Amino acid sequence: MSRNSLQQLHLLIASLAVALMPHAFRLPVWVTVWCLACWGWAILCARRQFPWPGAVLRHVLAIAGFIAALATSGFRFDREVGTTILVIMVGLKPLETRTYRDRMMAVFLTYFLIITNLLYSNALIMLPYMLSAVWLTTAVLVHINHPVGGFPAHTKLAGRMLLFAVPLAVVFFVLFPRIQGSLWQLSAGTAGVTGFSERLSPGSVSQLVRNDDVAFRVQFSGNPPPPEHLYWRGLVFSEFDGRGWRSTGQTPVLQPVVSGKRPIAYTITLESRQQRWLFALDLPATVPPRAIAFDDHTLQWKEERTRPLQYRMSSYPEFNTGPRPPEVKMFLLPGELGNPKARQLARQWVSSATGPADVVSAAMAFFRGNGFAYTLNPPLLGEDAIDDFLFETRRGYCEHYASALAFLMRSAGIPARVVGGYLGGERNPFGDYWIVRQSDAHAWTEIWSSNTGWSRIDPTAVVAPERITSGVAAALPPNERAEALSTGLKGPLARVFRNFTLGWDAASSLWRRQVIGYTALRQQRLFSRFGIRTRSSGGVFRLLAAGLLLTGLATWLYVWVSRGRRPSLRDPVKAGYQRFCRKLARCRVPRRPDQGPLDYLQTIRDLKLEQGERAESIIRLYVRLRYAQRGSNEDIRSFSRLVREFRPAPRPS
Amino acid sequence: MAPGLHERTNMSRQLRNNTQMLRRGAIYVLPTRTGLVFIAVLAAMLMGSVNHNNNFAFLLTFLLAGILFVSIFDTHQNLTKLEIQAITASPVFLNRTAFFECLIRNHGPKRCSVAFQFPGYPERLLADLAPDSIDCVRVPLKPIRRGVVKPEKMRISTRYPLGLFRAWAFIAVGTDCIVYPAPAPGAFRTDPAPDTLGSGTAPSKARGSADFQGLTAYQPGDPLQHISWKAFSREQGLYVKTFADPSGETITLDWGAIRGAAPERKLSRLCDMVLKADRLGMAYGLALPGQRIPPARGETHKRACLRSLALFGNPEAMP
Repeated sequence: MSRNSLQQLHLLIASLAVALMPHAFRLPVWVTVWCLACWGWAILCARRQFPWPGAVLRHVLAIAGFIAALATSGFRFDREVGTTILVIMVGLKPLETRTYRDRMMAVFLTYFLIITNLLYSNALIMLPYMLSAVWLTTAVLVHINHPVGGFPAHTKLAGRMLLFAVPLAVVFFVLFPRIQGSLWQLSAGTAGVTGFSERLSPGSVSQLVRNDDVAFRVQFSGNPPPPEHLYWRGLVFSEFDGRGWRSTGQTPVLQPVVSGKRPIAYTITLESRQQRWLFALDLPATVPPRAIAFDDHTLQWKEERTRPLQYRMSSYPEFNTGPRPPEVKMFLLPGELGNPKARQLARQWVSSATGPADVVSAAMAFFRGNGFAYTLNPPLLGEDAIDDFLFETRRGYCEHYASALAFLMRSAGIPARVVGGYLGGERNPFGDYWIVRQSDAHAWTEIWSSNTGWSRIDPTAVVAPERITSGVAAALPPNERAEALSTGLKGPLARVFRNFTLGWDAASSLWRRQVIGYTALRQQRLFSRFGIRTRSSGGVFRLLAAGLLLTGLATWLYVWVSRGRRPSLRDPVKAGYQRFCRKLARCRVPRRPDQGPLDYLQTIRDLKLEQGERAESIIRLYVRLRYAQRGSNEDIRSFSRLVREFRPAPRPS
Repeated sequence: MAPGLHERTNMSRQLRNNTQMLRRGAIYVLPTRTGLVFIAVLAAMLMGSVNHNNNFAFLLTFLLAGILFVSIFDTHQNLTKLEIQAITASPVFLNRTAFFECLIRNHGPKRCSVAFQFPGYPERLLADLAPDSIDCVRVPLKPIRRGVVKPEKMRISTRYPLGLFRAWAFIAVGTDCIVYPAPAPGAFRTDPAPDTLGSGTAPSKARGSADFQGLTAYQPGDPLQHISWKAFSREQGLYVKTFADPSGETITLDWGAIRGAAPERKLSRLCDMVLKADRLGMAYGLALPGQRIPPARGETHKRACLRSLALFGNPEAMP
């Protein structure tokens, strides 16, 4: 195999490897091993003159690979199997790249492999990956079509082509009509489930603190509310089962009853997947389209959710849910379950109180005054978990306090429930939005009174007020702060790293909102801003015109830039001489292609032109500048001036 | 009217300068077969993007479409501003490949993988042309018959950089190439029979066993192998060794002397004999039906003989 085709094989395998890389983390290990083995085989064949596998062997291998791929998935055909089969072909392809046509097909396969990566992840980090993979593959494509050339030059050319393809791609991207929904649906892969579960037990919130994933991002339309109002409501747990609380038995309503003042408008981009609960600032005043509202002021998405979701909301930070009494289950405590000391304490408060408000303040005073501590690592609780916590350990995280308070309130005959969600968030200065992470998870209590309806009581605010104002890390004891991940960074680079993370997050969310989230609806909105209505035929016509215009502009720019200014024009001496020759040619004294300057001078002399002396001085100067020495800039300028001022008289024909 | 005028001025310019410039309007661009496959791949990608409603996939598809689109202009520009200044071809034997030497001036940046080919012939040449310079490319052509080969036009094409589009242009070829018959080896038969025109009386001596006679001054056309290099190395100038023909005889290579062969075969045999006679430094003449070349020696004479063999019976191909 010649050096050229060996180099082509190496480059093809390199571009295939780059296109395969992200898949290697997803697909079964044997698929990657398969590819590496086939590629190694191809290189051995090329370098060590091993026999190339024949067509029969290749087909047998391909069929075996397909069967293995199907067997791995249990003979189900979905996206994973499709990708696996593609990758198996990618592995085999370098074994048949001896003809030009085969090599071209291998390159097309590489492009196709790159696009399949994007079906799995559309994170911002994939953008630079995609661009560099396309760059490399295009450079290989150029190389295949010009094997004698140097690869660096091909890389440069491919880069330039890519650079000019980007504006075209943007034009197509913006203008290509999007449709709602997909043509047909392959089953989508499952992503990891993080976030709240439908049962709240001691430890279920504090384990989320160790998770730095983004739960959602929020953009406020006006001024953001103060931190003590940043309670993000998610689930309501209203059934106590002895140790924990369950979220059950919500009744869907068209519009939950709530009144309030000064609503706050904002947009939430929900990142965590596979969860139908929607989060909203306490207390949501509106119901987003395609969502269901429940009587406990929680929201759920109507469909299964596999991709990030964006919705606009508006909430009342101060609210009143009206005098309608709650359902009877809000009073209930299972009678056979223990915690006698806690029940006793609640009864004690009721007997000495004049109303529910007194009971609440007694409970808060109890949490304030008895040495309760806020910790991520509370001691284990026994059979009567509430009693153990209230009278023995007195160390717990927000769910311990919320759960205990709700239990106490119900024991005192006051309707109460636990709400799970997030508290606070981090403002990103680069994008002016808020990031709420899983580590901001929180639980609090709501009690009902006949004047105000349900209202929020957060016992954590009494035990660890810093949790409300300054976030998790500030509220925790110093030895536990490192566990609240991102905030635990120290050292000189921490700030730089933090800023980088925030900047990346801002770019990432911009990418998600503007590019990944560019839907049919947004497209219509964008077009209507330019007065183009896609529904009318005139609008479509205008759209086409706009597309053609923009494409034409980009093309013109490309042709203009890459026209490749003639190298001669960069040399003023050469350019001047060419101008001089053109001037004389117009006067019917053309220079023949075979004439050097001195021969030409002879012709001019023979013709006895009027301006012969000037022409002679120009040619003498040219010969000196061109062949004798590098003239000074002064000489070059005077040469240019002479040429400029040279006005030969036309020779009679 | 206008195009006619344009053509005429164009032609007159060509005649004056005898050069042809590949102008933008004269270059055609169409997708290659692999280009069509690539377009199908793009269509599949677009379907996938629509199906998954995946904007990232849309972006990649459009990026590739943009690269495809941009490559049209790159392919086109790989041919523009090439100036063919002259085309020449040396005579060739029928079983050899003729090379048309084209003097090409590149008025632009570097050109890569430019293919030169005569339509109807499979041979082609791939060449890179350096920026802003003059290159000589030798375009191969394997003649299929003797006589004059006069290709009307030459195709200059390229599918650089991506191989997805092909640009091509035709340029007129004013040059012809004389194709001599392929020499057919065989016995050297001068056959100085009395009924032929040869005047040989001692055929055994005619086999080039001539005696060295002396040196005469070189004249253009004298056979190179008779130059006295020894004299030349003594800086005495160019001299040619002359040989005495003891009998003063000349031979005539006669069409009629070769019997029982097809005409083309006869021509091939005669061609071989001309070459051999020339190599042996003999004076030889050529007798063809209706045509006779008197005996002589030298390069010019050899060419004239070969030429009349090439053109024999084919007067319409006279250049």
